[in-house]
Amino acid sequence: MTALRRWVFDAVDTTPMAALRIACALLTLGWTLSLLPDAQAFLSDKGLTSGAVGGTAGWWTLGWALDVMSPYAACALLIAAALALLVGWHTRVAALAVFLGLLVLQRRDVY
Amino acid sequence: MRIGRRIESSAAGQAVIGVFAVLVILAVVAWNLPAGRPHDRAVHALGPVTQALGLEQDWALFAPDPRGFGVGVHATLTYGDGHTRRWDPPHNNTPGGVLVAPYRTYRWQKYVERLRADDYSGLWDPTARWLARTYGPGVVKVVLTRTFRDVVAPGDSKPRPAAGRFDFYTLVLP
Repeated sequence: MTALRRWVFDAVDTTPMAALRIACALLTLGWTLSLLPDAQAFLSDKGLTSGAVGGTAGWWTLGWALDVMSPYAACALLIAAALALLVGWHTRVAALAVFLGLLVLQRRDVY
Repeated sequence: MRIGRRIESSAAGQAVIGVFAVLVILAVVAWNLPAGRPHDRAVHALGPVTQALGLEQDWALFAPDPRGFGVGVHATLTYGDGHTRRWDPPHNNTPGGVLVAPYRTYRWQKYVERLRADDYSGLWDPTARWLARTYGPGVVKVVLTRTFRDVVAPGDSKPRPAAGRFDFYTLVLP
């Protein structure tokens, strides 16, 4: 158990993870920017899908998030989180914010 | 020490992180088991967790039978004065050239693949109404048309068959 714990949690060079972090941030930025022109069409209640699609609806699928903020606000938050992740500013919080942002947008627009 | 590092260096924090990582791996593996009872049971048990984390995936992209025909959808909008307008989903023809446009328009292609299918008839009315709002005012009728054409196998010298079309949804506005 000690060996496993050492393997999982001992400090290692973080360069590869930093590279992965930057790549994820760039992909997230690019994807969100590509979505902006179609944000109203795919994410708003008066858009193409007229509400969330995909999976079983429940509070855990965060479908309510786009009821309390506009599609552009959601995209703006995701872009801000991706920028924070890109530059390495509060990366734990930024990574969680990027994850939640992608989840919220994916739930409403599975395309 | 920052709170994040304190949590990660504590025994309790490492235990929680370890359990979470194992749960995620189990959820992904279970969701991708071959079809059968183990898969059905795993999906039933882990479904909420997998969906909450956005990990549900369907990798049956082209297997076992790739589609043998090309599909498309377009809409015809009729206005009050009688003139009509055709709407085609964006398809690599938006500004940005061949390097940028596909990234911007690919979601429209995926959307069209669903829109044309009878299983997704719930999309037809919202789509027609969105078109009427977006390209209005004055739209009195929206007709969604499905087009299809058999794909010719590479190297086949047969002429390309003519495209078929079918009006699958009509929205008439007051």
